[in-house]
Amino acid sequence: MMRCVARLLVCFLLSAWPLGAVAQGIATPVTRLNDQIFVSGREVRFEQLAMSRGQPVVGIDDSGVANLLQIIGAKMQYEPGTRFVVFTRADGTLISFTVGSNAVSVDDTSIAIPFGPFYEDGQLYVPLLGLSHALGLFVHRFRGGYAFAPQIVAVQRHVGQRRTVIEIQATAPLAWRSAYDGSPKHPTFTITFPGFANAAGSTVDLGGREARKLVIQRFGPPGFPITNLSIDVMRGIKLAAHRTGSTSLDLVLARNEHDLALNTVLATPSVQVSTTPRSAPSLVPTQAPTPAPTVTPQASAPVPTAVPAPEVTDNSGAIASGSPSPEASGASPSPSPSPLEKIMDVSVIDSADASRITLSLTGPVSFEWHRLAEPDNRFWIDISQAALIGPAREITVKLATVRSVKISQHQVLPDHVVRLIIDPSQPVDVSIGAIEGAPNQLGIDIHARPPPEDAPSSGVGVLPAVSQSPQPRVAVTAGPSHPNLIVIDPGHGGNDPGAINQQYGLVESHLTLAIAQRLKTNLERAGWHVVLTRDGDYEVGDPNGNDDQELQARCDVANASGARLFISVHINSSFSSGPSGLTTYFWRPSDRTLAQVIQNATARASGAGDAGVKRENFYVIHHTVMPSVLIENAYLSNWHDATLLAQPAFLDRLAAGIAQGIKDYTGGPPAP
Amino acid sequence: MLAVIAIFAGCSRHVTVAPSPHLTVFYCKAGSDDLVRVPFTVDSKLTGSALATYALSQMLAGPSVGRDSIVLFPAGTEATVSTEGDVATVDLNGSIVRSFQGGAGDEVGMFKSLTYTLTGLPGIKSVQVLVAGQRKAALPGGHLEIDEPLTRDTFAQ
Repeated sequence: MMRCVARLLVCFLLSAWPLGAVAQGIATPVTRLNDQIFVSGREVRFEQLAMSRGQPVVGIDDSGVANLLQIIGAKMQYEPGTRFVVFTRADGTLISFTVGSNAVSVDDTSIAIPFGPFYEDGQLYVPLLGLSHALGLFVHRFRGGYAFAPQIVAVQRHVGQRRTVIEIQATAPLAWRSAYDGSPKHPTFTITFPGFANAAGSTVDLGGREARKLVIQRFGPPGFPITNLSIDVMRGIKLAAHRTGSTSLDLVLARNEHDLALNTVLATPSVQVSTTPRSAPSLVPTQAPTPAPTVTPQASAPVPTAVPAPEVTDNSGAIASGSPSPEASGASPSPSPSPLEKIMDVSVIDSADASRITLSLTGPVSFEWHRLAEPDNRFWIDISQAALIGPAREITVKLATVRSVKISQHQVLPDHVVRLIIDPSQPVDVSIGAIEGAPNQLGIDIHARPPPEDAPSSGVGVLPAVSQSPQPRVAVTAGPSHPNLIVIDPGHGGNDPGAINQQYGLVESHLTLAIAQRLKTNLERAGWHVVLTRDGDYEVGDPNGNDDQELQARCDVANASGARLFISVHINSSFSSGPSGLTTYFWRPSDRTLAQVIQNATARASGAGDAGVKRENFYVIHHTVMPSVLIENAYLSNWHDATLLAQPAFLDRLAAGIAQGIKDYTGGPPAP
Repeated sequence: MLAVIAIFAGCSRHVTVAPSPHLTVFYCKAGSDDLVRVPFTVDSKLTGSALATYALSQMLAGPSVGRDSIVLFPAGTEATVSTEGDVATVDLNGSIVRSFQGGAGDEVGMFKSLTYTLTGLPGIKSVQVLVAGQRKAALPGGHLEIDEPLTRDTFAQ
């Protein structure tokens, strides 16, 4: 039944797509399109995005298609030279396009589309909007691009004897958070689905025994919709959420704990929410060719799940892009990416004046390394197309001048990168290379001695497939890999609003974003590249993840970018209404100057009180590898500060002040 | 838990003899790093986890005077403390672990006063904070790193 609702919805969406000229078997003009594409708030880059007959089309073997499918948990089956392109959605729905046919088959229903896939210069193109709709994605057109998001497509109520079950069906693997507001008058459960749009109506009457009603609302920017289910429950009712499939979820409401389990037969559906039929859907059933009768998943081309790092069980094809391997597709016109190698083990041998860390790999890898200048001195190595087996961990070395060594799966999208960070208390010389007589062993020697004065600040290297001699010694003083990039972190967001001033209706997460966006504009005007950890009201990390992962996700954005600076923007608050003014926090002693310079400039530009710089072990300024500060921009709890924070002009001044501080500290971005 | 705190709070009112070395509870002034020392006299029989529990109960209750300018734990905060070796382990529960919506300044003040108070007890050098029984990097919605034991050095400027 749920599948049927989802399927009808797809039919409706497809029919709403404007019908244009139908072209079959004729030369098709294709012009390159530079639009940006976002999927669930993440930018997906396409190399073969083009415009044809007024519609965006995309090359079928574009890595962007593979990345899009990976994000929504869908799979593609396509043999070059054949007429069929078959997609399997995460909920099992089969979608079949046929080359030259203006019809798409969605499970057993055939639906007309303006034009189907076509070959041009030997490349197969598929219409992007038709594909997105068939995949059950919400499509938002903005100036310069498209944003796609999966949707909640059905919400159904089932009433049992002692409980109410709400079935939720989506078009992509569900991620959610739940919260409970125990207000005595209106206790409410809220289930939040970040990154999901709503196509399942707006309210459901829940009868009044366990709960009164369920309200579905969409929040967030169109590029990153967030759907909230608020369930107005009776007092004493408990809720359990059971994942019943990757795209489906059952919420059970019951008074007794033992009724919350999903082990009994449910009653017949009594209420169903459906989309509002705004106009009669003009379905045009056509004689669609039947696709290949059986569709088997590609055994050798697994589509990894999104972050965090997937379990890597097969190093032959588990590449981040999810592209089929040449063996799987029979032929591959594009160069295949290098295979993923695993780091199976990490060991240490200490001597009096050096420590050797040995990484045991399953094959050859390439790496790059960077070293920060005094007084920071950190040294890090990024190993490309590598998967760390086991959790991120600290590696203990006995060298007195090394405070810590950490290794982690730093990145999984678009590529797998393992990062090893050495944090010394004074400059140390580091050598990286293959270990003689030990194939697939990468050795990292940390010496107690300082590096030579003329040593470079960064470099690259490879661990060859079979190596007999060590790589030339590398060591140095370094800088960031992107010295013109600054990462700004708007504090809190999504389910964590931060501090709130009820009287003025001020929410910390909204203010931090407003300041960060202004700061971004200021810095870009000055020639910097800027990355925001979030550009809407949502969590940066996995919305189902815990709060620790959320903080680490912000650090990951910065660390993955190789930025020069990390600036975390917050608003302060206190139990007492007394405290006011700005405070800039730093953790590493080497960041004190950056904090002081930004504090001075921001206090001067904004006119807010100067509460000084402070050293505190805040997570995001500890776990980012570049110079990092966290600015608490005035107090929401102070009447004077809150009055200022309610004024957009004050937010402008704060942003201008922080930008000035960055200029004072750096002297501006490096010349191109 | 509240009952336990109430019992120990009750004990303090009946102390008449054997004043042990005074217990000092540190409160933090809001918006600053300044600590306010409040001395208590406790029964000398109160030692180890029981003494730590008493100190914690006074921290949660807040000072009896001058409360307006003192960082208080959010209403509804529950906490238990146990000591082993030189580490006091404080397990936070209640409203504070659902979502901390105070500012970074108060958060630091809270943990600083907790650390100073408990490390002022005989033999205690550090404080391990647990959030609903588990080690966490920070409070939900929080800023300060608390996965490692906190010491007075943690708050050194």
